[in-house]
Amino acid sequence: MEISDISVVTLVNRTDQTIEGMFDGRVYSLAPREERQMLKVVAEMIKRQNPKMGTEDPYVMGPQSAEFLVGVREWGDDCEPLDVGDSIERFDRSLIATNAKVETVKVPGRIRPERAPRPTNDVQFSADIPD
Amino acid sequence: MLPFQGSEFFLWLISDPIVQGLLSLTLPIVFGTISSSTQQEDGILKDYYEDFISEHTNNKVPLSDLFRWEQAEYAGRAVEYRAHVTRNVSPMFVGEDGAFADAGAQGHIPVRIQQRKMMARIRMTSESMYDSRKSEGAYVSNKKDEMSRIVDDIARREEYAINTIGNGVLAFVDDSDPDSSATVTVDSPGGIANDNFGNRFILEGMYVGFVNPATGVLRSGVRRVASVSTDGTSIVLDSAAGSTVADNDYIVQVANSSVTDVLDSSFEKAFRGFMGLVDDGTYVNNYDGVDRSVYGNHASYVKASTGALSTDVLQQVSDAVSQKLGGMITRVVGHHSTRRLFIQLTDPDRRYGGDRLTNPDPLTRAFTQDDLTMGEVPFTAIRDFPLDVMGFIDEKGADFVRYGTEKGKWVDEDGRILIRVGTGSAGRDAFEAWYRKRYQNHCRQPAKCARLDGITGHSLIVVRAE
Repeated sequence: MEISDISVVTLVNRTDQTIEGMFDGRVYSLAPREERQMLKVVAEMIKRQNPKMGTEDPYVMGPQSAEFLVGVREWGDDCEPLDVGDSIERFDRSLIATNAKVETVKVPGRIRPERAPRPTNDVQFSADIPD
Repeated sequence: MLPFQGSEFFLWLISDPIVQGLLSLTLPIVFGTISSSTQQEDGILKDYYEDFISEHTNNKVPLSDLFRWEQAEYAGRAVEYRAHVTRNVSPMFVGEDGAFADAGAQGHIPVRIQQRKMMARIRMTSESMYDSRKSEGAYVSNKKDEMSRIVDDIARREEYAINTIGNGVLAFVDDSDPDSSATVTVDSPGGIANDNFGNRFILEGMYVGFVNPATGVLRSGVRRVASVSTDGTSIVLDSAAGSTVADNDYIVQVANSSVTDVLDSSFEKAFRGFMGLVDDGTYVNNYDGVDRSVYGNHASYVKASTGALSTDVLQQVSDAVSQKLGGMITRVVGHHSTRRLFIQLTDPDRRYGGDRLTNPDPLTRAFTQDDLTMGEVPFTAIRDFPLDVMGFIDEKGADFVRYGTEKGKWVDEDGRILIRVGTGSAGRDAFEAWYRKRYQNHCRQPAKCARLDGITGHSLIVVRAE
């Protein structure tokens, strides 16, 4: 492995689980809450590979877009303990829902006006379907 | 002739149905059965041999077929070209009589590609060659069979290489105490992070060694693979792994049982594969002399730990590639299991059962293994592709090149393809032939391609096809 930047930083595992990362084809493991000195490029890669799922802002790219399960002390990262969470994807969907414009659309069809009005507060798409 | 034969009494007697019934029951008992059967006539029957050999190895190499490599010349120590990576930063808006920036300069870096080599070998005794020459004696000529099928076998190993990194790693040891048993648990097939089906590139009968990932040195104790588990999680060796073998060691192919030097292994000698070409340093940081952690122009956009697939994340990849170097994705590749995730993604919107409601069709053309499309870009399923990865390729812009001096041929520099095995006391009436390939794959614009790693939500179906 030939690396131009050989500066060393301290990588902190913020979780109570073993964290793994891959750099240049090699696996690096950090025990729960372990702090370890390692090459900056390796630390950066491990950090990038270990976001806290469900925290990424879909409208932002780069290292500021999410929370990470590891932190680098020298960069002023948050190194306080963190729960790994249980989200199944990187994106924070709540950000998408907040920003989205929700519009209620009524589809013309066999409308019978004598019926009771249908709830519209949570419905985005409604069609009049006979019983 | 019996004395009463031909008399009226005899004719009456044998024409009587009761007498006929009694005779049919008693004659076989007295004289034994007299009808002929295939069991009785087995001595005159032969087997009928069909004149073909049914093929039961999967010789398709879809990813190798997908790439249209530009063939480039190679000579000397290496091929080198220069890449323009940084601008002159002096252009600056200034006021009247104001100072302006110092002169800058264009930045160029060398990119240096060295060839790699694959060798294959066959060995035949003279008897096996001569006794199988005629169709009366053999289904196929042994010589023809060995010499033609080895080419398919080479293509299969190339397909493995091109689907993985190109460092020759077959899998990682996934066992905290690997020397305790001949069964070793493995993961990360092809050296690519994944817990599933670690043995998918390991074949029964291979000699394997274990490389210390920290030093690149081969640990002591080469072993032969006795079997591979059908669930993909382990391999059984001919004896327990060496005492120094550790968790996350690289498992690599070695030449034979007496190997002690990593030089005689496949480690760092395979042709570069997709995961090394289209990468950000996760698998190959030193990309043909370029430090990817410094020169992002040679790093692809790789989104690690993607998690669940969504249309948002797919679009994000395309946007990132476009912004980085103006790349335009023209092909998406992934394992069949990943393609099923993509199909699931579209399920809620495919509400109508085809064009005939009397014969609703709930599936897609992926069922006949045709490409689905994603924004009109074909998504091709590749059986050896990493299990949780999607690859995004700019086929025109990425500039895939194959530098090489030998596309593949039988070694014949001494004027012979078949050479005698040994001389003197080691001599045998047998012949060997060697096959050689020398080249290296390279992508001049890897930043025009991208990857999604760590996709989750699969129901993985990995079917081993030797």
